[in-house]
Parts: sequence; C-alpha cells; structure tokens
Amino acid sequence: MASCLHKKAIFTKHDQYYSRTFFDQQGVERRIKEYFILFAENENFHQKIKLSRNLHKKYLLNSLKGLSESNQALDASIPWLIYWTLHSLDILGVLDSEEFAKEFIQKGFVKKAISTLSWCQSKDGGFGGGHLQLPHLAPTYAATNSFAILSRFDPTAISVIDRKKMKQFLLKMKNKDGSFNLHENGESDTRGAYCALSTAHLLQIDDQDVTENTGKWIATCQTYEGGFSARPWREAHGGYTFCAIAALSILGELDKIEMEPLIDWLAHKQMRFSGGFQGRINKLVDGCYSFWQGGVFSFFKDYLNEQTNQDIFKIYQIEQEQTNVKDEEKEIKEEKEEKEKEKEEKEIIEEEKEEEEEEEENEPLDWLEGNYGSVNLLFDEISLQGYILACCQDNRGGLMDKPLKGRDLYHTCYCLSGLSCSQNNLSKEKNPVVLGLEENLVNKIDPIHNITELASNSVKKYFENLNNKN
Amino acid sequence: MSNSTNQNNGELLSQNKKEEKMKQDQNTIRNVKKKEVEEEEEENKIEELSSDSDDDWLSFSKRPEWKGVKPIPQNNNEPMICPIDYSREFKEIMGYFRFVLANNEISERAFDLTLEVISHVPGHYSAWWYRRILLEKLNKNLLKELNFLKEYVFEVQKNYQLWQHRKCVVDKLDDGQYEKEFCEIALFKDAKNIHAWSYRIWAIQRFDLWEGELQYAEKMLKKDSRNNSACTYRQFIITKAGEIEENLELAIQECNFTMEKLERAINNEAAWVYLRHWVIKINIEKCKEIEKKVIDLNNKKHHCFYPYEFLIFIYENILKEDNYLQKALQFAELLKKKDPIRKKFWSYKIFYLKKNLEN
Repeated sequence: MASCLHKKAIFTKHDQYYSRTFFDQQGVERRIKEYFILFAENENFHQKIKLSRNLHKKYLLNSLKGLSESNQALDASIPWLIYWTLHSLDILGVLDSEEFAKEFIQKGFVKKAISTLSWCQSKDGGFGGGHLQLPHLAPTYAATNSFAILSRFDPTAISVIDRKKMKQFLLKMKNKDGSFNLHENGESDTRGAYCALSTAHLLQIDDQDVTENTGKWIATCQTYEGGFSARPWREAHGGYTFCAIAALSILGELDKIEMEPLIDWLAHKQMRFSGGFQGRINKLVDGCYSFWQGGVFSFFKDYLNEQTNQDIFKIYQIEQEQTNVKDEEKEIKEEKEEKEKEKEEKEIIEEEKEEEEEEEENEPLDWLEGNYGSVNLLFDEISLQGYILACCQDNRGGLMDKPLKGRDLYHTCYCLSGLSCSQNNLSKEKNPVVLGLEENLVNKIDPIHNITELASNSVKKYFENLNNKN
Repeated sequence: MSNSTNQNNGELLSQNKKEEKMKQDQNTIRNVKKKEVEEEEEENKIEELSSDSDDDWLSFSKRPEWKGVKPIPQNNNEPMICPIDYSREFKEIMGYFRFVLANNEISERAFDLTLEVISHVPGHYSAWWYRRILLEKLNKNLLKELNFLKEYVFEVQKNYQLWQHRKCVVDKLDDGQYEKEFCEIALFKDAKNIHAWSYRIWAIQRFDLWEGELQYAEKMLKKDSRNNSACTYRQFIITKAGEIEENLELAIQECNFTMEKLERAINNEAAWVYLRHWVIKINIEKCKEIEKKVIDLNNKKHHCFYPYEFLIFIYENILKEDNYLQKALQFAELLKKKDPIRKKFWSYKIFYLKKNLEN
C-alpha cells in the first residue's frame, strides 16, 4: 500500500548535503525502482507478483545434495547451512507432502542430516561449526533447530542431543553478569544470549541457573535510539534487536525495557521507498532484515493488547471493513472513488507545484488503497512482501539481499522467514495477509526459535512423550 | 451485454499484449542484470584462480615437517547433507588441522597451519582460538601478531573472529597505543563498520584512551553527518560511558551541536534521533527555543518528515499542554497520510494522543 508500488512513492530527498550515505541510498533506490516498475506498471499485478516456489525448491534441494566450492568459507558453519536449507524448505511447505517425506527418508536424507549434525556435537556438550571444531553457541542453535525440523520425520532425532552436557556447556559459556560468551575465549553479545536461551528453551533445560540475570543484562543493551546493540554503548542493529527481544520473550521479561522507543525505532527501520527494512539508521535495505526487524513485531501482541484494551484494533477493523466493499456496492464505490481520485489528483497537482523536486510517480494500483494488513503488526506487511517478492527473488531460484546481489542460503532463509512473519499475524482468528495470489502464502513460523510451528510442535510432542514415560 | 463482453475481450487482448511486452522487457532487463552478475562472478573466479596459482601451494605430502602424519577425514568420510565441493587443497588443510586439534598439538607447524586455515575460512573460530593458545604456549612475539592482523584487516573486516583475536592479544600485551590506528584502517574502508566501532569502544575503555576521541567523532561526522555509528560513538564519548552526568549544560551543548548539523542536512535520521535523546533533558524554555528553530527549518520545505516527528515528540513528552497535544495530533494525522508506509504506526500514535487529550 505504500512503498514504491504506490503512486506516492517517495525517493529519499536530497537536502543539498551530499555524503556517502546519500549516494549509496540513491543508487539502491534507482536499482529497486527498475525492478518494481516491472510489476507496478502491470494491471495484472496480483497475478504477476509471485513467489517462485518451484525455483526456490529446486535451489534448496540441490543445496541438500551438494554446495559449490565457493561455500568453503562457511566450513565453520555447517549446522547453519543445514538449518537455512531445511528451514527454507519447511517454510515453503515442501516438507509437508507425504510423498516428499517418504522420498526424503527413503533416499537417506534424514539419516545423512542427523549424521552430519552429530559429527558437530562436542564431547563436552554443544555443537561446533564442523567435525572436531570447538562448541559454539551459534552452530549449537542452528543444530538444535535443525534437529527440531528433522523430528518431523524422525521423532527421535532430538535424542541425539546430549541435554545434560548441553546444559553444562551453556552454563560454562555464561558470565556472572548474565551475558553469554559465544565460545570458550570468545566474544559475548546479545547473539550469545539469544542462541543460549533459544536452545535451552527448545530443549526444556531453561532452568533458573541458565536464565538468571540475562534479562537484566540484555536490557542494558537498549540504546538511546530505541533498538538493541551487541553490547552496551554500541549502535542499535536489527540482528541484535531480534536476539534481544526474542530472548526477553523467552524469559517473560519484556517489561524490563522501554517499549515505546523500541516500537518507534523499529517502525522507522522500514524503508519508505522499498518497503524492506534497513538494519541500522541511515543504512541500506537488506532482505534479511525482513525477519530480523519485521519478525520483532510479532512479540508485541500482548503488549499492544494490554496497552490499548484492543480499542486500537477496533479502529483498524472499522477502517478495514469500510474498504472491503462487497460486489454490489462496487459500482457505487467506483463512482465515489473516481470523484475522490479527481480530488486527489487536484491535490497532487497542487502538491507538485509546491514540491520543486517531485520525482516521477508510478500509477496507482487500486487494490492497494486502504489495504491495512494485520492490525497487530505495527508495520506495513504488504509493502514488505512487495519488496521480498519483487526485489529479492533471484531468477535462478533462491533469495537475496537486494537487486543485483546473488542468492545465498542465508538470505533465502531470512527473506522467507520475514515473508512468513508478515503474512501470518499471530492472532488465530484473523486471516493471513497475503500480497498477490493466495498461493504465495507460506507456512507459519514460531518466531521465538524461527522454526515452523509444525517443527516446534513436533519437538513439544517428543518431550511430552518423554515426560510421560518417566 | 454482448457489447461489454466484446469490450472485455478487446481489453483482454490488449492486456495480453501488454503482458507479453512486459514479460519481454522484464526478461531483457533481467538478462542484462544476470549477465552483469555473472560477469562479476566470473571475474572473481578468475581472480581467485590466478591468486591460487600465484602462491605455489605445497601439498602436505611433500612437506617434510608433516611426514608420517595421518590427516583426519571429515566425519570419517560418512555421507553428508549439504556437502561442500571442497578443493583438494582445502580438504588437505582441514584434515591436518583436525589432526592438530584432536591431538592438542603444540608446535610451530601447527601455528603455521592455523594461518592457512584462516586464510581459507576467515570465520574459523576454532583456528583463531587455537592460534591464541599456541601464541601463549610457544611464547610467540605478540607485537608480530599485531602486525599480521594489521595487514589482514585490509582484506577481511566484517568478521567477529579477527576483532576478538585482536582484543585478546592486545589485552594480554596490556598496551593499547596502536588500537586507534588499527580501527582507522577498517573505518577508512567502511565508516560504518560495526565491528570496528565496537572494538574502538572496548579499547578506549580498557586503556583509558578518551583523549581526542570527541574530535575524532566530529571528524567522522564532518565526513558524513549521516553516519549513525559516529553519532552513537559521540554519545558514548560525551557521557564517558555513563560516567558523566547528562546534566542541563551538557544537554544544551548537544542540542546546539545537533541543530547546527541539521541546518546543513535536514534529512538525517541519525541527528534527529540524537536530538531527541538530549532534548528530553533540557528545560521547557530552551525546548521552546529549539521548537522554534525546528519550525523555521521545516518552513524551508525540505520534503522530509523528521521535523514533524520531532515536534510530535516534544509536544507529547515535554510541553504536554493541551494546545501542544492538539498540534501533535494534527501532525500525526498529516504523517498518517503523507508517510503511508507507517500508516499503522501513526494510527497507533494518534490513538494515544487522543487518549492523552481526553484525560
């Protein structure tokens, strides 16, 4: 409804102060416009803006079979490669079909995946980036999530993880102030805290000794900007903000932070022109922040409900109903709209007169008008989906940062995760908000761990059975 | 009825043509882009190849110091998922490195090997970690290590391990005199490098290097006043990491500083956010002065929403009286229209402002 799909697309204006930031931004906006225009000028926009499921599926299945030599640099991130690939397939719904599951198991993929991950498990607990590598919280998180996805096919997959040693490892990484080192003699930041807590929570070992003081420490990483940084006094950043909020949500300590500045900062990280998110103030849009920033809004539901007693949602609903006009009323509406359009056009002409530097504008797309999206996510999810679908899909399959960048598994995973968060708002009674045809809808994720709900439910089921047996 | 169907058909036809054309356009543009990307990739490949052949890499089997060592194969050669198509060289290096790790080998050859591993996988944290162990156990010259890092940071900057390694070595040396210069190398290439700024903050605190840092932050802001990293760094320096009280005098100083920057470049979220942090700490009188300045700035028609947003902020949080809240509401309504991507956010704000007005 906004962004450059809309006639009121706003290029970042220059103010006669030219600096690196400005030129970089301008370059990217021009590039994005070229991409968008392919869709925006098309009347059949709805049919055209499509998630290239089959291409992505092909790219991902090929990745399971083998990765090119250029991936060597990721040899200390093997659990990540597996997680990004499996999770992307899971979001796309590829893992849902029984036929696929059968083949997946028969061809030995599940076995191979479990074996590959097992080789990364350290004898002292936790997982490293590869065989015989030092245990590290990030690959530990990726491996745990991967096992969760695999437990959809083999319910005992999780049992490969030595939970007792895992807990020892987590406690060994923990500092007195509540922060976590990523590995022995390694750095400590909000990423460490999130990876540790997410892992512990999923494996149900998040006892007090793991969790205490961590919320307090994370709260010290909130900056004056409103977002969160890696450590106190650093710059607020999308990735660290997700880590901080997801971790606090696991701890149930979201009340420890300043919520309003956070919402303000986040809302402003969505880019006016592209609809995607930037990671930091005055930086460029990147598809991966669709999840790191866009996903954070998923955690505000309770807060917003409490704050507003749902009144605010009522306002949205009324506005939304007004725009969802039924067929019979369409004609009347069209007449009205025409008049409104004329009026608006006049307004625009006036505006143009005022604004000396007004850029060329795209044609309006009627359906975009008044589409509010989900009321409990305070960002424009339609525009975000527009950015992901129009600008981040590599035509060879896979997704990417921004136009002209190549695809990779990391961006494929986080663009799709962002797409899922923006389509599937959290309230059960509401319908998903989907840009384009219904077939663009992907599986819903559990934003705390960033695995699908299907995967997280299958883990829960495993532990239920385990506890019942004991 | 039939008329309208015909018309529809006509429309459909022309639409099909349009779509066809769009598809073609799309394909040409995409193909051109694809070609560009592919060419870039090709170039990179050629570069890689040529650099490979430049350093005549010697296989481990031909290295006398590794004679008799049996490298450990990855995952005992079991079939993997997402297997990487390693080069022969890479496979060999990693096999020997696994041997070193498995045996906790403390030796010169192991030390040299860590560098080979890192040059292929800059994020190989185990190699960096093991290199630190060897530095200590072999009693290596740490200054030499610093020089190595100085050269290395030219190539690789966005990597946690390099900075962590530097931090550990420098901490051990207990000497931070080269650290500003070191950050400089990375910040010269990318003035917003988050690792470099983060490291600088650590070094300043660890070695008490505060002197000259305010000037440094200013220098960086002069280069690009939209550099938010430099802005947050200024906040760190000016409060000495929270040691200096954010009193009225300091707040006024920072407000004036920021207003000056904004007068030169109004479209700068970094400065507006910074201003918010300080304006909340000044008195109402001074706040009204700033309000006036911002309104003047806004009247110059710069086509940006930040002045409105800032005014809403001070009306809501500082001036608070009904007439101010009314104005805030009015601006928020305006932004809801003018800044459609934040429509929901502004609706949320409006909801609050109305609530405030009612109470």
